[in-house]
Amino acid sequence: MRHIIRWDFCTLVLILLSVFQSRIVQAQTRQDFSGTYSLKLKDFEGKASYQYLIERRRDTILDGRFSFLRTFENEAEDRVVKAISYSGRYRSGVANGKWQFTFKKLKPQDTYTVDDFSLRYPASGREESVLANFTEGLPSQEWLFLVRAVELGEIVDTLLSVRGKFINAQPSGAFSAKTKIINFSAHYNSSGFATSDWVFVNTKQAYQDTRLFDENGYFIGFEFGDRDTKYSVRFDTVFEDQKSDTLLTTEFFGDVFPYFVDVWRRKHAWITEEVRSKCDSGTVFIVQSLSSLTKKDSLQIWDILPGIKASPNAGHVLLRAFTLNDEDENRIDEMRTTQKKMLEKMENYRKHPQRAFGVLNDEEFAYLDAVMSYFSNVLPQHNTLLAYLNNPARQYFNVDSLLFYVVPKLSFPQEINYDFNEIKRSKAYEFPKLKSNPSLADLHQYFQDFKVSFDHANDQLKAMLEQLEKQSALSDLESDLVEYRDSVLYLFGEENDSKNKYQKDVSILMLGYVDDLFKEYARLEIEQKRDSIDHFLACFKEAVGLYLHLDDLPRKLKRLDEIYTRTIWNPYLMVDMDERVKERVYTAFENYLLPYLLKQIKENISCSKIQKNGENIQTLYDRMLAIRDEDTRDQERALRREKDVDVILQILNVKF
Amino acid sequence: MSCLGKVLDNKSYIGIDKPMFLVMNKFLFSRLFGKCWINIFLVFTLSISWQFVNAQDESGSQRPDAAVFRSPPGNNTWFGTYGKVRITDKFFWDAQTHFRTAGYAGTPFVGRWAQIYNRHGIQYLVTPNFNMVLGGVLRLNFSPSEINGENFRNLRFEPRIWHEYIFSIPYPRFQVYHRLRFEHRWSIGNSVDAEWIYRDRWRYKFFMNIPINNQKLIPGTWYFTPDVEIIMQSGSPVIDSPLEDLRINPTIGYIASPRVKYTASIMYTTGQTLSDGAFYNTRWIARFNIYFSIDARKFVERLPEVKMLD
Repeated sequence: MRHIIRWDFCTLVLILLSVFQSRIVQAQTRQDFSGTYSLKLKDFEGKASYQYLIERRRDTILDGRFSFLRTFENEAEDRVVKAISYSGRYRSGVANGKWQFTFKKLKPQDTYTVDDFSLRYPASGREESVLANFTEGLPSQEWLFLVRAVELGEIVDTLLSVRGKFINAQPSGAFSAKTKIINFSAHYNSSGFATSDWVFVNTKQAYQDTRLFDENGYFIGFEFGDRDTKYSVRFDTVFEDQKSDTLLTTEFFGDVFPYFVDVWRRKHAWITEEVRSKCDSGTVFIVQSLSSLTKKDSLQIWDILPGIKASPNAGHVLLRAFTLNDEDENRIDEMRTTQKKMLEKMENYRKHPQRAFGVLNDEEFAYLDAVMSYFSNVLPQHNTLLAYLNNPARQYFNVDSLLFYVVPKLSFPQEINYDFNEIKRSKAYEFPKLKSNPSLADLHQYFQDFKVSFDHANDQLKAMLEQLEKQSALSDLESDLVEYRDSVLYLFGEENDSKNKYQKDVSILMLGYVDDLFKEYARLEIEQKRDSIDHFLACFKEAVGLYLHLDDLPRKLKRLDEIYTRTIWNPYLMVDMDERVKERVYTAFENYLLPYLLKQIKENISCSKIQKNGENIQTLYDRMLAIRDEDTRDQERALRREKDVDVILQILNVKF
Repeated sequence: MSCLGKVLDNKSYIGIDKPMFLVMNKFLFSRLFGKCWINIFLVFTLSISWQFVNAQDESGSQRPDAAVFRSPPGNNTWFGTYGKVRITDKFFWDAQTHFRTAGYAGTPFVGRWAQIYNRHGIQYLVTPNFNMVLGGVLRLNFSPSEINGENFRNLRFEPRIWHEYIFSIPYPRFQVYHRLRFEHRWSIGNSVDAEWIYRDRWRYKFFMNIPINNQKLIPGTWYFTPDVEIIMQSGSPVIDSPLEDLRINPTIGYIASPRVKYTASIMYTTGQTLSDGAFYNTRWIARFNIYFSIDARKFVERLPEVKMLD
């Protein structure tokens, strides 16, 4: 009996073991999935096919092959289809081995082939693909990025290839990027820091730019050369006891390096606009190449995929950090605040409606206005200087060295020249002075001095403007007057390059007229101004009106040319030909009336006549439109060989 | 090879160049009517020729061994005025007058009056590229009395009824034209005993207007006109001379205005004489023409279309 019991117990244990075993084996069997799948990005859904395991705790573990495809159409581009796909393998939920990311942008052709029950449209466009390698979810070994052109379903060309090597997601060894005309090569040390020469060669434009790093990853300089010459600029040497920052290479080339070039170009004459532009193009290419393995536009390619522990990074660069002390930081802040206030004051002064009157009425005002003109020329240079000091990349540049590059040469005159009552005058003014090769403290002192000098002139002018405002109750009307004057000066002036030939013909006369008119008004006593400002306003409005009449003249002439032309069918040649209708009427208009009217405009630039002449253009145009539909046989007979404008006006019944 | 080509190979003695017919084939009918019309036209033309060839064989008259061409060629000058008066949108009055002189008594080209020629018709504009005309002609033929003597008429009238069909084909840089003209004419010989005879004329003309100093045919343009016309005839008096005339007339023209143009040309013609098809008359003709058109419609009808922009 005992024997039987013992046997049964063993059997039970064996049976239980076998049941568990079978469950374990069953749990580890790979299963296939095929259907809709979302990556780790919101709304990034596509079709996936993958293999997976179910663990005891019912977790799904990706294991085996994996592929994902998402397609979308761009509404802005007709029939263009975009597709993003991934393919690779997982081992126990972690990416392992070769992976591929592909982005395709294709447009199907109109023709197709029938394949069983499918229609196949060959497409053209481009493909961007990353051929990747992962070891336990980390980028490793060789990586390759390719951009290829596709024509009618076939790959026809490789436009860009980028190659890099990685160890545990860090770049290591050679890195290169190549197009038909660009060859870029870089190198990383075993810790993922940029090292050696990073060389960018443009074979088409025959130049080479080189960014230099030491063996530890410190940026140490830049070289540029073409067929004939080679230039270089060296960066501050770094000592062991100095503080340094570690930057991603993409950050360095994207943000900091362009700043360096911008600073250097202010003293190094060889960094011309052309060199700078080439250098910027090279920088953009380098940044795009470095990012190409990890980014497609704003999409972080590998971050949205499960089972990836890290994306490959673009490596690092070391830069010495120049931390300013609190005093220097405060100096820069103060200069920025001072500059901002001065700009506001300058803007208020220049816009003040009484300014134009003050310049004409008061000599002291005219003198201080000329002083303010000098200040207004210098303020933009301050802006440029402060932009360099406030740039975040400034912390990687020794400030003293930076000031050497970016402080402009500011020269102020001893005497100010100005006009008053059409007489040229001059008077001394004490402007602030700036040392050559200034320190930050010197620069700060200059800003303080400048502010004092600026405020002194501005306060005096402000007081005079307030006085002028009090004297005149015409402020609003005068604002309009100034606005109209400025409009006319702009419309007929050099700045306006959209003037037609009729407007150009009278522009000098109109500018002189408006200037005289304004001076005439400014010299009036207050009472006289009150009585006559409406008249002056009307005169300026007329001038704007004339501009508008002349602006429309080419359209009117074209229209008359059209309606006085008809197309007739020539019965011998059997072709349509253009024929002038009422030829004598049109010739009289073209040869005599229009030149007469334009001459009248030029010879009668004065208030009220300007308006009349502008209206005459419209009157003549309207009459010509009307004549077109009238029976003009008698008039045409009378116009034969007639050249007298008055007679022609009478014949055609044009009443100016 | 088209059916036309085959026929021409067999009947090359008809006296019409094969390339000439091929030109007709290409430019006239293929663009306008298609191949069917080509065949109809050619069969019709060739059947007339065939009739005369047969007639010639049966006559049994003495014939020279080879065709005989008049040498030296005759020389004439034609001064022409061509008027078109637009009566309505679709109808024109077509008025043409020729003053023709001939070399005579040692004076080439203008030695004597040869003909005065009046051709009038009503033209109907079917489309801007196709129109037709129907009308009458009265030609006055002059013969020098010193030669003719008493038994000959110095002045003979020659009336005709005519109708023509002109097709134009516009190209970006030039115009191509095909003209089919048919004339039914009564004529009489010089002799006082001569009797009236009746014949039909079948004329086809190919010509182009190619601007020289402009891109298009517009006023102020000089243009060149390659012009070739073949004139066939039929009727009981036509025994062995179906090819009445082949005219090659390169022309230079000038468009003075949409309504006036001038042309000048030197034309070479050759064709069988009515009395004996073996004999070919040849001529050099200097031609000077003025073409004018007048719009006789009412004033309001001539006004350009009013545009609504104003």
